[in-house]
Amino acid sequence: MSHPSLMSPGVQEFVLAFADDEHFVGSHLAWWIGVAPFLEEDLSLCSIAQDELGHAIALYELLTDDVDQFALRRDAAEYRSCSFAEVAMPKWEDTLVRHWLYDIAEDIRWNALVDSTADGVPAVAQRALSEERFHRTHSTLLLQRSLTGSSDAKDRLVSAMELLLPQSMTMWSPVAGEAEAVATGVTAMTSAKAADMYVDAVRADLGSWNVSLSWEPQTAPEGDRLDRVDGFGEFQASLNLVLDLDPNAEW
Amino acid sequence: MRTWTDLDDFQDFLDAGGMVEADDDMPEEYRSEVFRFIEFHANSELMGGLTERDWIPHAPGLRLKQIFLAKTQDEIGHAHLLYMVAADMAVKTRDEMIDDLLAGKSRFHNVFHYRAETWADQIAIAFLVDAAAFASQRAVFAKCTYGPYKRILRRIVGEEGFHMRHGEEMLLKMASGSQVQRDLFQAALERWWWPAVQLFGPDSPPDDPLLKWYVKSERNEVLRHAYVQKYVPLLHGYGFTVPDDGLHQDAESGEWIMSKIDWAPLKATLSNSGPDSERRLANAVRNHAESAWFRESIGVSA
Repeated sequence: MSHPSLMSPGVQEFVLAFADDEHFVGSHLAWWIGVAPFLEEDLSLCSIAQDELGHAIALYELLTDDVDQFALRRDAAEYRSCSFAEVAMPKWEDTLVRHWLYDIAEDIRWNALVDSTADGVPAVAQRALSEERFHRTHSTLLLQRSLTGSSDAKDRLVSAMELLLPQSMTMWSPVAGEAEAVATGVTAMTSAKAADMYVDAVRADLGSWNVSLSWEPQTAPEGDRLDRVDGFGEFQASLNLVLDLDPNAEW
Repeated sequence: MRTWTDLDDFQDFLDAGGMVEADDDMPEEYRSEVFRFIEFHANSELMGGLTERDWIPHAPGLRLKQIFLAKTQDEIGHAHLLYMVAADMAVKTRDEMIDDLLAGKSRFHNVFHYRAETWADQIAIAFLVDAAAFASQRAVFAKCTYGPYKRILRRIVGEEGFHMRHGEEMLLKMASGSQVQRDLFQAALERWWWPAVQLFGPDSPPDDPLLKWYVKSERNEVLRHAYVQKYVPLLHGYGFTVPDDGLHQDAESGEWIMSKIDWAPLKATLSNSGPDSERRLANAVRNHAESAWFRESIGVSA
């Protein structure tokens, strides 16, 4: 892979972690096209999926000249995504809850990059934040309406929250390059500080919806971004199904 | 609200270039036929989106994934608009239309009863099927006497034209690419050529009410003939073989003459017995059922 930027390897790893998260969350959201619960939601979620993929592309472009090769064809060990972004969620309640949690985290992560010292990062962050406002509104309004709409929906969504909240902390699992990214002003905060903000924001939403959970946030697990979830090989093979037919072809 | 004394009076209105609006007291025959036509169009856009979605996860690039997402989003968006136009005709609600579609009680285009087997099928759909749909829809847009449908078609035709051009760009990559890519598209062409030609339907009956009422502006066979004249040379030019052993060019007129069309595959799709009808509908029914709890909780239609 080529690296057109002058970023150090540590800073590249920090940017890569965010790019890979965006890539996989965007790809998982894209799965819902045509099968979201209703037509308007199909259109909304599809736009959000395109936005997330666009964020991934914009970040990958800071790291490489060949986005597709880099995004799709690295060895599994070279990805820096968190397990929360990697895992497939074919149940709507899980997808909606991840959408809510991931976008809270995205808002914090992008805001920490708006004054980044890394070339190109502030512009990407500004653009992403303008889109994330819609994403946050979308997920919170849907959750709010559904949680109060029926007891069945509330049971499903609360179960999904209890399942996913602990795993969501993997978004704050730092990469080795984070210390350098913080020290050089590439990002305005550590993952640990961002995780605190995240927990506060999640609790504020839960409080506004009168949802009480038995969630006790744990520190983000070390090394999560160095491991891949079960099924990642299958997922990556699926992403590469066409490229594998002729890896040298231009599609 | 406008009214007409009888069908002859209504026909005079249409012959003079009149445009019918949703709140007009239109003859029930017109309401029923136009509704059925729009419902069929809406169903086809929705099921077309489901046909295309199968290969989006495997798109060979992130920008391509965005592009095909946007394209499929357009198709779902067309369905959304068309269901609203149809629902305003007060024959069925959107929920009833979708329930009927999933129950196999209403129809959708023949091509969406087929499965996209490879990535090249995705391109064949964009190049061949979208082009056929574009030609068909443009012919409806040309004179359409039902105002709400005509206004929606302006947008749909515009977007389908873009899809068609994108299909051509994608095909160009396959045609100028590796042998693997050329073979892949040739195989897809063999699967999609006849369904695309059949999309126009059998020859229009002499008394087709949709022609009489200027909903359609052109006969099926005329549109089909024009399509063949355009797409056979294009495909030949890209180095592909049209899967029709009897296809030849008339020495005098220069027109491309096809073999006699076997309409049995089209008829099979009309009863949801196409090659992929069962899987397509079963998946749609399952997905619809699995998210019913969410729709109910927020009080929305499907």
